[in-house]
Amino acid sequence: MKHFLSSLLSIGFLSSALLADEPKQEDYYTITHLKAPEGAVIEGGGIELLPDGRVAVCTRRGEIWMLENPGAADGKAAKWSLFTNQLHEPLSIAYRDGWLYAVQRAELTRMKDTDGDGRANVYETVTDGWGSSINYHEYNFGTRFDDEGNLYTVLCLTGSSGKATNPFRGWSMRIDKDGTLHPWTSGIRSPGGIGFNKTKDVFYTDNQGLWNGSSSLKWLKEGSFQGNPNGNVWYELANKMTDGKFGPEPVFPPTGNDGVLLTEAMKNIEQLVPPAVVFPHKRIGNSPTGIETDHSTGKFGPFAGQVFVGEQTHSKIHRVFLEKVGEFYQGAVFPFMDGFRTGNIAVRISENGQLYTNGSNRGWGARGGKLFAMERVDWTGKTPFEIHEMRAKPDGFTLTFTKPVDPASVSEDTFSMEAFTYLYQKSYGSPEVEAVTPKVTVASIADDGKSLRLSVEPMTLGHVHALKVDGLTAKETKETLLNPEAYYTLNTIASE
Amino acid sequence: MRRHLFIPLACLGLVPALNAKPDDAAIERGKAVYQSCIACHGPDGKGVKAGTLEMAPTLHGSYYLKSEKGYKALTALLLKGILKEDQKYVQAMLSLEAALDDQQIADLIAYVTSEFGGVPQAASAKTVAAHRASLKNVTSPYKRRNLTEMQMAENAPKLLSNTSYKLYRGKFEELPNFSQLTPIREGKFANDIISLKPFESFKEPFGLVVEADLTIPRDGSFRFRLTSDDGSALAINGETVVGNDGIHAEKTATLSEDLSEGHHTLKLLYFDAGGNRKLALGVNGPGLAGSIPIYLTDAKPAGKKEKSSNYDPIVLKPASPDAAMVQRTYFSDAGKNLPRAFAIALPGDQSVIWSAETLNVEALGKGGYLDASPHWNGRGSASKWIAEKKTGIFGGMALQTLATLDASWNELPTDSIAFAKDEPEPKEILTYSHLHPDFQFLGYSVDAKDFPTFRYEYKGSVITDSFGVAGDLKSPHIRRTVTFEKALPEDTFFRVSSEPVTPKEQANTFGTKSAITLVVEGGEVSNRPAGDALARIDGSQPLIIDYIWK
Repeated sequence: MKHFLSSLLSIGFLSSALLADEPKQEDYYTITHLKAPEGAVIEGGGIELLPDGRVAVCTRRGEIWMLENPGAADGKAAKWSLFTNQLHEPLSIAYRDGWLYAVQRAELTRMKDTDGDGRANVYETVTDGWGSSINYHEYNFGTRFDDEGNLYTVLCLTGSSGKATNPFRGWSMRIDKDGTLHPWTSGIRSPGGIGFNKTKDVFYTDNQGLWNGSSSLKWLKEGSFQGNPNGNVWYELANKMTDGKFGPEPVFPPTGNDGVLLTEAMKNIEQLVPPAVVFPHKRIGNSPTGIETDHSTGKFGPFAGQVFVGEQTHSKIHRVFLEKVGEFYQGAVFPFMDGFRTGNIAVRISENGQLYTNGSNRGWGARGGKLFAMERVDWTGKTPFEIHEMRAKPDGFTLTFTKPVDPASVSEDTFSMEAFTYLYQKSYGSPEVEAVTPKVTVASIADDGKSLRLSVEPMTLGHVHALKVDGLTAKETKETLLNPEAYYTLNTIASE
Repeated sequence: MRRHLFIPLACLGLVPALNAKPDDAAIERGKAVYQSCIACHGPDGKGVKAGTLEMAPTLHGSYYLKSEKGYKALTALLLKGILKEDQKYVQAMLSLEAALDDQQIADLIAYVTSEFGGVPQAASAKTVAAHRASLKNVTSPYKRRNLTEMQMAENAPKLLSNTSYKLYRGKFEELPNFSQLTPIREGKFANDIISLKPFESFKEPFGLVVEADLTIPRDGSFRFRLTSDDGSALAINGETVVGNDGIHAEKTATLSEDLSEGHHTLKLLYFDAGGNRKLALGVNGPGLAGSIPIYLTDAKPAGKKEKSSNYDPIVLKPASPDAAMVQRTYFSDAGKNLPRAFAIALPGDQSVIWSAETLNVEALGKGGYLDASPHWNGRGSASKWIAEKKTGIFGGMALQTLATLDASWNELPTDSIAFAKDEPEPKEILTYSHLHPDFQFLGYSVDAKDFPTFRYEYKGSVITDSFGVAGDLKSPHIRRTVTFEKALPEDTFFRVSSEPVTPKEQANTFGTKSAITLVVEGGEVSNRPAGDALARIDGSQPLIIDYIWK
């Protein structure tokens, strides 16, 4: 896979014949720049799709912009207008019943334009029940509404040192339809986004750092503890708010300098939920962000129902396959697209299959070196040859593909795997530890060529299983995989 | 998908430069110079004992005698001396700058590097003179760490080879697809040092593509620092690793990349759209020079941290002179932190800081509104309130029903909780404020010119608090109108000032200690012994407060 800049960089180093054989991202998915008006600095924030076809974008500078004609083939046809510039670093927006809801620093606010001049003039506080200080690090992200009208937020810890100096720093909160704030989970470190999977369970992304060995996509199971204990100071308050129903504070994780494995820590910490999918630091990205499920039922390509996650540092979007095995979610992250102009923060897919992403590289550098950008991804209609799903089996994985594979291209070297995990420790991040090189063999290939069973020995509980595919081709087109790698986090050994 | 490219080793100039051996005469002369060193370092270079201490360290095994590529650090320490950083040695290395001339230092270097197990250096007086000149501004002895880094930098491997460029004519807003353009000039950089100097005479906007082979000495994580004006991007092995694109003033982007030992391709893209030009690239990492970056360009990347004082101000103002502006932000001004603040600009170059915590005016200003640059740069610290005149006497909760007239005025309630970061046993007390239970902020609306009306609930009554201007059109003053949905409990007061006020001759007019005169209608104002000034309100009529600058 080569994005735009890389493609031009490759020229001169590679023969054109070699390039021709290589599947290219732009053959399947194109990136269209929706350029900001002259002088405007639109550092996204969240993206919402409005019923009238407009796209709303909130920004780190406190604005919401409206984008008319966002889906036109020519990005220049999209027209921007300012809806408000009166918010405080809103990072998520959601629409309901004529109101736009914005998760700001200090509150969830809803707003509308009642005088028809295109600018919001009424702002209502839905809840201001979480704490807020003047520390820049207290970022908040929110979901859209679930079927019951709940909106969920994740509240970043205070400061990069990771304290929780006001309620409910380091927590996820649920705001119900009447605006009441309820504690939802503890253990948050530094979120980059929050959203739902296809069954409307809530997930967020947390960034590598203190008590967090590598970045990951995490399941916000109600009442769970996500791993960073410094927000646990608010358990007392959470129980006061819920008449004691929230539950006891988790056992404090081991504080030794050597760290422990998460699988070990989970034996003593009942509420600890493991990351659903670890995004191995530096291997796939450094800083995951917005979460979006593809509800376009095939209009965005072959990945309906899967989860797409932004990546700020590497200016990418990942694709995630999730499955619930036993008590927990687990699954695989695949590279999906790269070459975006800035550090991707929000990701939003419309029902007609257009993906919008925006972001900023301010304060945190990104490979796409633009200060900010809004971009749209369109599926060209051509199906890329990709691993579609990676499902855990007791003794290996089942891979499904977007196109039938050519059995003749499979040899004993086609699939290889490394497995490793990270330390759960108070210090920043973790090296990859407990490396294992499992033996991978192809047990069977389905008659239709669309799936393939891998035997993997051993399957290591709690480990990321990094799969590499070399030389596999599609039966009809003889193309190789657009993205020949996957990282599966094995939280539970499947029983079947 | 990373490609590995294999380039024949011979292309890359990997063979280190060989040091010429010093001749015997130089060593002999150097031995004579060394006689002034033996009191501390000893005739055998092993150091002289002084009780349990040593006068000076042994020279055998010294890192500074083992430079592979030069003797700058050794010259530097001889010229300037070494700071005494521990109690192990009696003496500090003294500065010999005045005592020895260039030839004597060259001879001394030849002697000590040959005699005491170093890499023998045929030092020349000319090179010593050049080092002496380049270090002329150094006026104090070196720390060992600085010397070590100096030597590491000098001995750092040459990272680039086959460094060539292609120059493109054109005015770009962002890095174009250079492969579709035709270069107007191609060339190579002298000594593989990337530079904009060859294009100084080219006065038009341009684009530049630099290609080079990159040799990495050791596996590890390498930190690249790319400063440019305007846009630039760095790609290694065809993958962009640092982006710094777009039209901008000098700006630095930094990213780390894991690289394996051996050969890589480097591509640096740049464009200048007019104005100042800069292109600077540095890297540090394993096998290089410690924390000192190796510069791949003749210009140096900007320093580690952007300073907020360096931001160009972003001064906000209302859309028109008769309009207001509302900004929601956090504030830290005059020692008070306001996380839920509104900054309101009003005609007459006036501003109001209103808090959604106290539901009250916290401060008033005149002459300048907000500089958003601290908030809109970097990671976003608090905006700067840049009013020339500021007064902040209106704090505390907006209103209160008093049980007795001398009851204390409500502030934000605080709570404490025991806490320890990263530890189960609490170590410190964390005190935090929370919102007052008698009040609930409901939001606000703005009119067509963005004048705000805040809404909140107090004991079941919705109260609005609007800000506008009144009086002389050329120099209007702030008018605040507070309305009450229904009757308030008896003995409810509105706090007009946290300090006593002085009644003036005109009706309802009060002087304050600050630069503001108050005119209060709709509530009788009295000072309390506690030291504040309250207006009695019953909810039957609006309370109108004019804030007039003296």
